[in-house]
Amino acid sequence: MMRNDIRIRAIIWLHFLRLWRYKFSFLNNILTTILWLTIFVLGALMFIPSSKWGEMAPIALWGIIMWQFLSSSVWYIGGWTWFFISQGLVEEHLLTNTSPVPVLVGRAITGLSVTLAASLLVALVFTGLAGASVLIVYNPLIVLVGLVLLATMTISYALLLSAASFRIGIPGTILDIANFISFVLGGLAVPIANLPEQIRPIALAIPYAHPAEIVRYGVRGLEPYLGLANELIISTIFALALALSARIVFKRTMKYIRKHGVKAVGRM
Amino acid sequence: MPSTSIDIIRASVFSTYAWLKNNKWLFFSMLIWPYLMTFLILALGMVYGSLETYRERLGISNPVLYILASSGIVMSSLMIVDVVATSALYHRWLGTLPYLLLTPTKTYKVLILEPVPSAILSSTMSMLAILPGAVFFEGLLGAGKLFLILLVVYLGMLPLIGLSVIIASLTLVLREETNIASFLTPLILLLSGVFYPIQVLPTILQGMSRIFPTLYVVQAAKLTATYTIPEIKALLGLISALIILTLIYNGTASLALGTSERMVKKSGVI
Repeated sequence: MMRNDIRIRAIIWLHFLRLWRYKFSFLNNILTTILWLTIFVLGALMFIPSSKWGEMAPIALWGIIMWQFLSSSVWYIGGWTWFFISQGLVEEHLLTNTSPVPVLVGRAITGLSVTLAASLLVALVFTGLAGASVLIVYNPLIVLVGLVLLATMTISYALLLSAASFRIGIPGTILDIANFISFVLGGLAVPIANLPEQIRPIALAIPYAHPAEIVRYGVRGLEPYLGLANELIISTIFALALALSARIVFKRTMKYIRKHGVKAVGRM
Repeated sequence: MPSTSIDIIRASVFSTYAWLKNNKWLFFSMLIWPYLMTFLILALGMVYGSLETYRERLGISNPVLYILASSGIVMSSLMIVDVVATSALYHRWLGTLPYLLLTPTKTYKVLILEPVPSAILSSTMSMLAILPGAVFFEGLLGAGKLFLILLVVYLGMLPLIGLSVIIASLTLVLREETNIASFLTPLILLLSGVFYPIQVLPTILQGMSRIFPTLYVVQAAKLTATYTIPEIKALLGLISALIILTLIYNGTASLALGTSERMVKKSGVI
């Protein structure tokens, strides 16, 4: 029987190999992300008087970077499940006694690589629009903590979506709806304090709002809505709860598909 | 005996119908998408700034209707390019491409005609979805304007199909996992100035935008959102540009797909 560490090494190798093998797709993904973001940024820019652009630029830039974490997890893990299923790879992995979960988690390598490259290029676009000061970070360690918590949440969420898509057909656009709502209402785009008062309770209930507040504190020193210590505790609880839920749901889904087979075959 | 064009289109209509019937969420999402995009731009813009600033910068009378119409155009363009460019790729994923190549019907004929019903349906759906919004803002005149934009979208679809076929040919030859030219859709939309005036782009990009059909479709939408009754002369100018692009792109596409079919038959498709 194959040892766990060998299995994990094989999965990591698989995803790096795929990155290299499909390098044009990888570059295409980075370019596509940048272009879509630029369309929306230019659209939103038209609403801001030129005099306020310098003040809003860092918030917009980090909002976009955090959205990219969410979006890439959803698409490169949750969305890729479609490819994984339609190629018959679930059954193939199960037959070799390998759970599809680590294979799907390994897709975070692809997602994070695209996020990193796209974020660097978006930052470059922003320096062109608002000057180099947009890149100044107040506390890099806090930013890192916030991003790690956010990544844990988004990867867990993507796994929950993957588990769901083993049993039901989720159209991709529905995932985008959830992403957009999280971006605007979930406090990724702007600080919770800047949202209209009626929307704030919704934002507080969306897990991503809390690490986003931590990241903004690290970037600009903006005081988090519930205070830094509270936001750190809440974010950690949300991250652990989501990771645990993903684990439980996937375990049950695997048990189900071992008995009944994969349902979602075809275009989703 | 090779299948006729009517046979291919009829089969594709049935396939599209069955696909949507079995995936009602997808049908629903096609209707909701333009509103979602409008919501995103408006919500983001209004949290960062104000609608008044947007109205002044773009010089349009009804910014919400304009954003709604632009979102409809974005969605229809996206779906046309996606459906046409990825149909060959999808056949390869499913393992049906070798069978297509072995049938007496020319492969390029199948790859061009098969996505047409789906492309027409998705662009119609994207535009019809915003009908309630248009009627809400401008009554029957709004519905009339939307119908006009839909006609321009249909016309804009012809060169877009040609462009998508060129992308499909490239994807087949390069044997990539996904549509490696999918960046072209946001690039085309970026250069068409969907949510902003193209004057904000560098001069070289403004020049490049003239070769993409969506620029003219977006300009038609802007005309309808700017004036109560759009200028016929200006609209005719845009339509002429679309006809010229149709001839250029579809001519190139027929050559590109024939060449990639020969290359794929020579080297294998998997």
